[in-house]
Amino acid sequence: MSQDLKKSPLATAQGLGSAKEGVSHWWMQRVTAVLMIPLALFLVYSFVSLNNFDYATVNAWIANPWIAAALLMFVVTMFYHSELGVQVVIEDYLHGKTKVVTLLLAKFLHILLGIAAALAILRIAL
Amino acid sequence: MKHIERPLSPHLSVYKPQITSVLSILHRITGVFLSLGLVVLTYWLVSIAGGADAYAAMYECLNSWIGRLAIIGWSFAFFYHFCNGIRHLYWDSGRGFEPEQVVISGWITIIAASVLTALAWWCILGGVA
Repeated sequence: MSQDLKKSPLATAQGLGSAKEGVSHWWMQRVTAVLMIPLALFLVYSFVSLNNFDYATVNAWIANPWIAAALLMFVVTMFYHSELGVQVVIEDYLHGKTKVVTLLLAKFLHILLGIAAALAILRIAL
Repeated sequence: MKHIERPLSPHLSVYKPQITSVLSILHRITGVFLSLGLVVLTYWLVSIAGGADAYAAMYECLNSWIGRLAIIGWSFAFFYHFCNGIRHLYWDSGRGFEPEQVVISGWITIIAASVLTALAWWCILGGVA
């Protein structure tokens, strides 16, 4: 319970004032970005090199253990990076209750879709 | 407390667009657009995992003119966000803040993103990788 003399209890409850810590968000945004650079280059090159994009070819491509590993790591990292970015955008343009609800919704969708994507890759590869 | 309407200084209506501001907001716009694209990416992956029939249904959907347009849009958004992202990391190292350097790196980003997009599509559509 913070006892900041200059902040009223209402202000504390409303979440007003400095958040005091945002460095971890900034840093993880950079870490996820850097991790995705080699993965993106590899996966994009590998994907555009496919001879055709019919079901058998694409399925076999993802089923390859190296591709599956890189793709899984890329997708999970990308969903994390995306959530961090979307969070900042929401915080910039929305305020109050709308902001809180939208932040929760964004996090929920990212986690749910991220799991769905990861499961799909595993299902194809295993 | 009654909410009092106070006047604001004009911004978008008076400030001339520059390579700095335009590329900056484009980084955000492409980012948000890519985040929306994650829904389609998940749909694509789940369709492949679902088997040949599911894949065929998804393919028909994404192969429509609006689907193709969207995918082309996402590909440019991806390469732009990628290149400008690297530009951001370059700034994070403390380099490249002189106005001339910002303009040059900006143009490099635009050109690199465009070239990568064109190259990727050339490979997809049958060119040799």
